[in-house]
Amino acid sequence: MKIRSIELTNFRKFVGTIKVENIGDKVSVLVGRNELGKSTLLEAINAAIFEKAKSAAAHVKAYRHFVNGTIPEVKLSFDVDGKSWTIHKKFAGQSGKSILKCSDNRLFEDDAAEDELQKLLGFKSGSRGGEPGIWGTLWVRQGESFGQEGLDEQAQQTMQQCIEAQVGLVTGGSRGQKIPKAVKAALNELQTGRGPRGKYKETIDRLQGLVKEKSELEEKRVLLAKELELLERSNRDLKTEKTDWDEAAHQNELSSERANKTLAATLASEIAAAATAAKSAQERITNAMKALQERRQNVGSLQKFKQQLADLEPQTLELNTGQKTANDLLDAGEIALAALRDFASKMSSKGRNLDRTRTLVSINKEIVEINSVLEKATRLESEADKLPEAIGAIAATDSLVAQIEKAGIALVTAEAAMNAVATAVSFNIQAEALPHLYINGTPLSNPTQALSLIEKTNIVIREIGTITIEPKVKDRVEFFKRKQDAEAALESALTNAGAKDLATAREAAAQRNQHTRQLEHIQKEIAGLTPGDPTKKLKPGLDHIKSYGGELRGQLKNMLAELGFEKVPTEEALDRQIEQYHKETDRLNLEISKAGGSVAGLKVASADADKKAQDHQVRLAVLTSSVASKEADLNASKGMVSDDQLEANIRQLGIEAASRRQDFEEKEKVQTEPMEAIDAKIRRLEGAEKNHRDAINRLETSIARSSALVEAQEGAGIEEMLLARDAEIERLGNTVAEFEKEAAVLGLLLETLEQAESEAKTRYLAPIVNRVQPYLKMLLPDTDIILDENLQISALTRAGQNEDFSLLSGGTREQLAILTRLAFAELLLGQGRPATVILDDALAFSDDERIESMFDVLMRAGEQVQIIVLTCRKKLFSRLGAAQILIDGAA
Amino acid sequence: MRFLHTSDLQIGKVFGNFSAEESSALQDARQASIRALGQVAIKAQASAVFIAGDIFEKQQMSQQALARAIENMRPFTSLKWHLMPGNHDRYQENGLWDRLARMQLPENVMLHTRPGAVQIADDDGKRVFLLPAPLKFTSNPDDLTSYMDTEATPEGAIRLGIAHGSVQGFGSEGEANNYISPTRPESAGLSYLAMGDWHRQIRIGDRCWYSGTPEPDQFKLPPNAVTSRCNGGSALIVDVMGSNSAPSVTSVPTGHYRWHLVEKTLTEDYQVDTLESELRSLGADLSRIALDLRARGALSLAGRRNFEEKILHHVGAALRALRFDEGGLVLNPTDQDLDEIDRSGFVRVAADRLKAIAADSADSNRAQVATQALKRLYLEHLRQEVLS
Repeated sequence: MKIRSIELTNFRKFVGTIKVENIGDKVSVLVGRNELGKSTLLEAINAAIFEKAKSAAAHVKAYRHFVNGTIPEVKLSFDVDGKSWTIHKKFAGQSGKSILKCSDNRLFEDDAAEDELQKLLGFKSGSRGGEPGIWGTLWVRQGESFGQEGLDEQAQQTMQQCIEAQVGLVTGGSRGQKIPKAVKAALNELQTGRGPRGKYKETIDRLQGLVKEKSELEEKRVLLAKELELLERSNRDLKTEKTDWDEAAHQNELSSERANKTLAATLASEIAAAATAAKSAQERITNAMKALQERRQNVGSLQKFKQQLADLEPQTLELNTGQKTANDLLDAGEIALAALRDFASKMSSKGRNLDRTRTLVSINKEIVEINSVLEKATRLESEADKLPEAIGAIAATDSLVAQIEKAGIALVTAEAAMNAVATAVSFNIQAEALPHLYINGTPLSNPTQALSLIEKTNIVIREIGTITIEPKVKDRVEFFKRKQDAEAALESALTNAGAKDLATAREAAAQRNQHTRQLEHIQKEIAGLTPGDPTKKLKPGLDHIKSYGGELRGQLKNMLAELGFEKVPTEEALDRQIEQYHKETDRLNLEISKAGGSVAGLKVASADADKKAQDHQVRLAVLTSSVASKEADLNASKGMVSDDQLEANIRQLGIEAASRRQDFEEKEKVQTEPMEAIDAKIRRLEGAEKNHRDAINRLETSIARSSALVEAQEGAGIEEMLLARDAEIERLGNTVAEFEKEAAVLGLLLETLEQAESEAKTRYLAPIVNRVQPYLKMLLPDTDIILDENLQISALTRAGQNEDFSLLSGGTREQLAILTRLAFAELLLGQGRPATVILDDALAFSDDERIESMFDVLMRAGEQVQIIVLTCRKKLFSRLGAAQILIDGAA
Repeated sequence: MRFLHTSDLQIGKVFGNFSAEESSALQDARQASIRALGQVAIKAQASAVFIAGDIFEKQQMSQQALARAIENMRPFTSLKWHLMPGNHDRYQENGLWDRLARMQLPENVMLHTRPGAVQIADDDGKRVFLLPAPLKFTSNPDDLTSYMDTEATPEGAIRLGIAHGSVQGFGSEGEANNYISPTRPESAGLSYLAMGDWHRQIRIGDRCWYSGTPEPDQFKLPPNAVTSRCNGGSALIVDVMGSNSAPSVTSVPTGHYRWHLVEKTLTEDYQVDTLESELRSLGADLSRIALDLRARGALSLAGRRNFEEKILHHVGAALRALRFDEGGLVLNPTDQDLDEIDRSGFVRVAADRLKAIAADSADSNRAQVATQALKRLYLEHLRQEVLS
């Protein structure tokens, strides 16, 4: 189509007729002043072609003059396919008129005219009139030339027809265009660039969830299997543990070992007792031998005794020191023992009770011992009771003997004093004369007799006479009185002693002393039996020990009540209890026992030392007291007990001591297992029993735990659940595989389609690009344009860089848009469908240099394509060098 | 004595190769097979049911699965159910069988978890002893029935064996190496040895049979099969007259679903229609059929579309379950197929390229994907046609 002329009557602002004629084949510049109606001219061209004359549309009604409202008319002449056509339309609504005339004289009117026009120019009829199609692209209204061309569907089809005529069928039609979109949409539903999405992703997630669940279930299954195995094993082990254990045999063995222990302990205490007995027997024999020796020594002189006394002095010191040392050691031992007992007392109440029970038992034992002592003491007392009577029967005491001796000496002294002053008269008489001599009436007894005369004495010689001797003695009376007093004293002393003379008195006194010593001896023995015990605050003496025994019985009774015992437990039972429940206490008790043993030993040593010291003191006392009467004592002693008897006693004691020693040695010989070995056995047996109980406890706990666990788990049916998960995993795995396959299929399909389409597009757009290229080189050397499938410019490539079309300057966008329009027109021309390009007030934003280039482009394009430039800038466009036509009309 | 012999119910077995709905139906059928067996036994006037192992699929079953199985036995009060462990449900201490034993079983259910003769009936004065050979392990190296040779029973008593494993000399169809001598009935004086483990029914001797599974569970044809029907789906009614005479053994159908394996080679598009009528004639009630369809050959795109519509969609909807592996059925797009997509244009170019890739045997995976892509293009094109 090439426009030749256009005539407007009463169109829009034009009143009357405006006519533009002689529009050439090439570039025509239609010049009009502003507001003259250039754009109205373009609108009129559009109206003539695309709007129906009878159209009642508002925009068609708007063609009328806005003041006059007269009926507008447009007459357009154009050439198509070598024929000239004129379309003349009167836009009068229902009474509108269309007339199409052809140079071959064909005439079409009204609808026929409209239809023929559509056919001729290839546009479609729309609801709002004809749709301009490619013409809308090529005929650019004012202010639109620099925008994107915005090819409508028809325009695109027109261009595609043009292009496909050149490059062949490319798209496969509109359906073909939709396929890649549909495939892409389907693929997008499956995955994004980041990976699967939607159901595909959900399935994968579910599958992963299931795999996790499965592994958890597997784990549970393994645990359950292990638990089942454990349960089976525990049951088996428990059965074995119970079968292999003989409780009765074990308890028998344990009891037997405990009995062995008691036996060994009893034996040990018996050995200790036997040792003490043997020692005591030995001591008794030693004492007896000492007594014998003493007697033998007594046989010696008094000097010897004195010497002995002197000799004994250092021994006394030594014994006292020994006694003190022994007592100190005993005190220390007792303090240690007390400390141990104190520690023991701090043990548990049961332990204390056991200790109390032990005390109870020991008290009981002590009571038994005391009873034995008391029995012996009673026997000795009955012996002693007889002695005072015997002593009482003898009046002569040592003091009386001394009085007698003193009286004797006084008498002798008195007589000696008298003799000293007396007149000595000596007689030497013939024996036959003796009967004739009488002194103071008493015949002379001795022929040679001397007389000391102190008073007047008559010596009568019978038949001869009397010789009177009267000594002249001063204080004769005094002398006589002294002598008489002395004689009276002696007489009185003898009478008191019940003796006729001193010898008799001495013998009687010795006899008495013997009895006294025997009594003392018995009392000492009794005292020896009851030496007292500082540890128990027990004073020596039978009464004390009796009282102590009573106290002990009281204590025993009290403790029995306190401890709730009906009778005193046996040591064995006590030991067993202690062994069983207080091994710790045992060890302590052992220590206490050892300390107790040590204290007992120390007590013995102390008692021994005491006894030795005491014996020594006794001996000293005896020696001292009996120095004067040693001989008498000895005689008396010998009278009481002969040497033979004493020796016999010693022999008897020797036998007894041997017997005690033998008893001790025999007891010591008895072989029992060592206590440590028995303890080890007991510990082993107790350990075994504990292990057995522990094993049973452990196994029963394990079984209960496993059973509970198994019962808690089994109901769920783990393997059944696993089967279900497996099936679901398989199912989902298949689904995922299907999705994967689907994605691969869609991916390949899309890739293939897109590649084919891209290749096709390149080929398809090539004609346009090829046509734009020469003009582009003129305008912007070294650039390329990129078109999209909608034939729109998407970018400009400059120096290898793509510049987005929308980001280019307005001027450049307009220039490029004009270039593609020219290319479209050329393409149409190539299809034998020459088309007019109309530019309304274009290139307004082009700079001077660029506009010159555009003029060159337009002129070059104008060689083939009819170009109509509507402008108000006459001067500027005069440089285009094209024919100018003035639009002249009234506005 | 008359009794029903069955085995391998494998309750709890799942079918991952089927859809969840299909699998669920097939699973339910295994549980329901107990009732079917009970009804068949009652109808045959049998007095007992012997289940020769693998009643359950696994050791750790849910309480519900166990209880339901027992509850399905309970109503058949005139039947004694004799249950014995197999390799799937072997006897394990504190395991499945101990759980069953703790469940207060009904009087008509008896568990045989230890070897040894047990008197189970007094058949008109003849005492009947059951000699079970329960499995304690999945795989037992010894013949567990060997004890039966020396196990004493009173003179004249009827001795019945029940065992689970593979009979030597007949090839191994079972799952584990639990070998059992096929001459055991003779050596142990058994009137009948009820075998389990093999899922197909087979006679080993006059006195020794495998009952097969009462409800099929796999697409496996018996040797030299003449039909497409797979193993399983029946039980045996055994009539033992006396200790010396051979028993009378009759097969009775028990399966709810029938499993078919159909292999078909398709070379022409019209064969799809033939296949459809063949499949429709598999049974009057297709909803009781599970089918494994193994189609091979090549179809055009149009033929393939027909195949999918008629076979997979229509017949597939009628069937209870359908398994189809399309790997064996290749696409052979014709020029007409391609023309239908487009005669020209880039879509046609793409179709031609996909066809070329599909025909390239060098990369079979890509070829397969290309085949599917081509099929997809074909279908997409048709869809667009419908839309436009």
